[in-house]
Amino acid sequence: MALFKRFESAIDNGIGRRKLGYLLIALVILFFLWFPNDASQSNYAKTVFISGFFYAILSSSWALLAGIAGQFSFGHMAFMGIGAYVAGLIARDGISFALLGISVTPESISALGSIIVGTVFAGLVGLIIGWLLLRLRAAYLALFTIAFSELFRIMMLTEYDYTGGSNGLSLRPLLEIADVNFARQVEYYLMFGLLIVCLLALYWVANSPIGLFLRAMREDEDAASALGVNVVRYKILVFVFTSMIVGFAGAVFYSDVGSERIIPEQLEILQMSLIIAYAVIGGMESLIGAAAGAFISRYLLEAMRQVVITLPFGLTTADGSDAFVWDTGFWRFALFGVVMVFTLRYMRNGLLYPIITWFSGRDIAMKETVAIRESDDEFAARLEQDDE
Amino acid sequence: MNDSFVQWLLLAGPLWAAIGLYFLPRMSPKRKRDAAISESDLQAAGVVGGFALGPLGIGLFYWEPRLIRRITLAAGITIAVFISSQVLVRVNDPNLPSALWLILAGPLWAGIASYFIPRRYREVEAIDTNALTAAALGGFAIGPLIIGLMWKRTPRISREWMIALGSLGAWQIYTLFALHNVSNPCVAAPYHITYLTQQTANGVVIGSIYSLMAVGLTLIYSVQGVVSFAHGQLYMVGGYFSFYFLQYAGEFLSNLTNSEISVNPIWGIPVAAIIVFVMGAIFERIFLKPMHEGLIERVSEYAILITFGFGFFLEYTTLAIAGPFPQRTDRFIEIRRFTLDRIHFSDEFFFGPIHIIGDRAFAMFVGIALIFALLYFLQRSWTGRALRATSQDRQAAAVTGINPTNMNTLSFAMGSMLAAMSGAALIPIFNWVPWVGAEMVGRSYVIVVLGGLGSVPGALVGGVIVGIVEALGAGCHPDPSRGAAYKEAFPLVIFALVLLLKPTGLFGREQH
Repeated sequence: MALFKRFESAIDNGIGRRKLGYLLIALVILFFLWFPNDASQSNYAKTVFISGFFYAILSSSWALLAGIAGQFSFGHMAFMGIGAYVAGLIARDGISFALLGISVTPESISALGSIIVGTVFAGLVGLIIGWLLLRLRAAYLALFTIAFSELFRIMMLTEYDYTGGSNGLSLRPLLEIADVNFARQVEYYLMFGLLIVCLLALYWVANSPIGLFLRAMREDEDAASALGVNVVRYKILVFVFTSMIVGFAGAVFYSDVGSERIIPEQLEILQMSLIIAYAVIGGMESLIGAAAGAFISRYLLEAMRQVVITLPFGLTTADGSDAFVWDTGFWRFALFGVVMVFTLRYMRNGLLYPIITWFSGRDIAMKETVAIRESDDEFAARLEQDDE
Repeated sequence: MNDSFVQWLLLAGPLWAAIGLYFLPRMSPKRKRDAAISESDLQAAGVVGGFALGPLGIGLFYWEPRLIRRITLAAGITIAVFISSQVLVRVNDPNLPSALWLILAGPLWAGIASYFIPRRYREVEAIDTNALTAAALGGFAIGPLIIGLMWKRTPRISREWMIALGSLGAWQIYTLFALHNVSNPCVAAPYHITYLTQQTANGVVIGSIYSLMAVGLTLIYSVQGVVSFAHGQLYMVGGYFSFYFLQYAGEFLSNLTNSEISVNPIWGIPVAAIIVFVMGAIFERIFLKPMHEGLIERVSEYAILITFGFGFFLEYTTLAIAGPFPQRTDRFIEIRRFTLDRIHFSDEFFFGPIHIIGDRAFAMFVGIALIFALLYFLQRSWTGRALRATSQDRQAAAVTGINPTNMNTLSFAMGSMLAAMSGAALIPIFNWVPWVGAEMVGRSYVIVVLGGLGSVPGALVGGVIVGIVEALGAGCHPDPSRGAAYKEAFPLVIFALVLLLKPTGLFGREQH
């Protein structure tokens, strides 16, 4: 502890915490940029990373919606699915509006074009759902979005003539590279770039005045509205924005970048609960916390598929092998649930919160404020006066 | 008439209506004053004029606002109805069944009505509590007629009104359906009445079982103000406790007596109830109690997440222990079919032409008996009265010597217990897998919201309604395999509509 204190003061007198934090972020980015060039890493590890990036996007955009704007939507995966399914359907069947003279044939649309159509469509549905949700709060909102996402999943599952049912729908491949190893590398960089872009966009919104309005609405909608925040506009805006982000990420991920096809199973409430768990563990009110939480949890869950303990000193187990091997396929999720519940109860802001506050230097300010409040009688008296 | 022209007509009406709705109320204030016309009349004129006469109508009303009188609006509506009916009749696209257009007309009018009628009610300062619901239902059922009527008279809307309009709407759907799909078993004479009654009876039976679970949810909500998102998993866990208890008790007794003994599944119900009661109480003490003590910010979000996390944990722990294999216990009633002196005995009951599977009927009786026991407990015992008092006013209850903290724990434990009991009552009927709870819990959300969150009788009625909707929806869908797949979807549609139109449900108190 004393060592940590000395380290802390050395940092404070030297480079400063914030700069150290930026340095750390730069190092992490460098690591991710270097990682696929490491020849010893298999394609499997890269695939795990790619899906980690994808879930980081989903989780951090959910953190903006639920943690910062306070809109507890369980329909996030459904918006992702809308993006992917619409992109896939338009690339396969095309669309035509005879009336407006617009006709899109499958031949005339590129993979990127179909992804953009999917994104726009996800945004439109987000607009409608956001508008419908205006009058609902907290538990009612959560229930409505559950109903919406289940309806969407059941429709995708049942209308198999169009969507392929439980076999799923193949999207048009975004990258057509013959060499498997090289393709994996490009996919990796694509997804990582997408994560960075999405995080920057989310941060831009969260740190703009809109982010302040959203936080005000989360704390007290009526008070925010009385102070002149256009609650209707920003609620709908945040819905459209996050659904477009996840719609885009979904359409890209399933365009043979991370996965070959989108299946309705991806839209189940269980998948949604994973996104929520990642965001909660990483920190719901911090975008980078949610993203890091998703990536780390994803990685740990993948690593915990099988627990192997090699016995030392030449000991053997009852059946003669030199290691205990447990298949922890389902137990890892049970453990994950325990971690999630206890995080919620005892570390509401997520497990990464202390680290993030330490680097941002916010904990100094917090400690000082609390100390002043507790010690300063005059301050306390003034507070009491204000209350009266 | 060629296709593109029809499409154009279909689009043109709503398009010009939207333009009229936007522009007409934005004329200069002076003209508005001169014509002495209200805002909502202008909006209505924009929609009607735009729909019926297109740019001509909008221009006319803009040029001479004094023309906007009730009689003009009525004439406009008549023309609009005439045009739209003409279009509907002429649509002859083989890919697009004409009934679809008729069905689409319902939501269209419902949308128009639910936009205008509440505004009109507020304008004339009439009581508008149910105006939105009635307008949507009425617009769906009788279209422009009800809109005109409600616009003019702004009647006070009672529950009877809504029931009448709702049934009319349902009847219309049925008629359209019958016209569209003649050979369907639901509409093909002479057996359709039997078929429908049979489906309804099935729905009532299964619906009463659903109710038991929903009653638990509503009990928790009424006392704590918390929607338990772990309810489905508690239901699933209850089934598994019953399953394992029956298995081990059967083995134990068989070893004891050296004979093959199987325990009737009814004994699993109290066992599951006790275990889950304790589980619920412990969870409440550790994770929900701090919420009521003011230790946690933003309580409603915390409640959603913590119960959700609990459900997540339960589901995966069960999956790890029990595995993903379907399990099922013995049946409640072990009667094989046999015939004695020309009387048939079987495990099905027959009431006239309707037959009900014995096990389901048994589970229904268990469910109804438990609900009535709960109602008796809530109404007559001291603890039950204390629970109700806490749900009505926490502080007043505390003043009279009721400990609200204990009541919170009791309500959550009892609610979870009811879920577990319905699980234990249903494991002899359904195949049990760890994700059975996630499927089931959707239904109980529908039930509690439909009946009104916090109302026990509402949950009972809601359960039966959901059961009937599911059975009829699945039974009458033109494509049987799709009908079965959409079984869960039918109640969800009702759910979304109730949430949007009347979030307090049928029997609910005001949202707090």
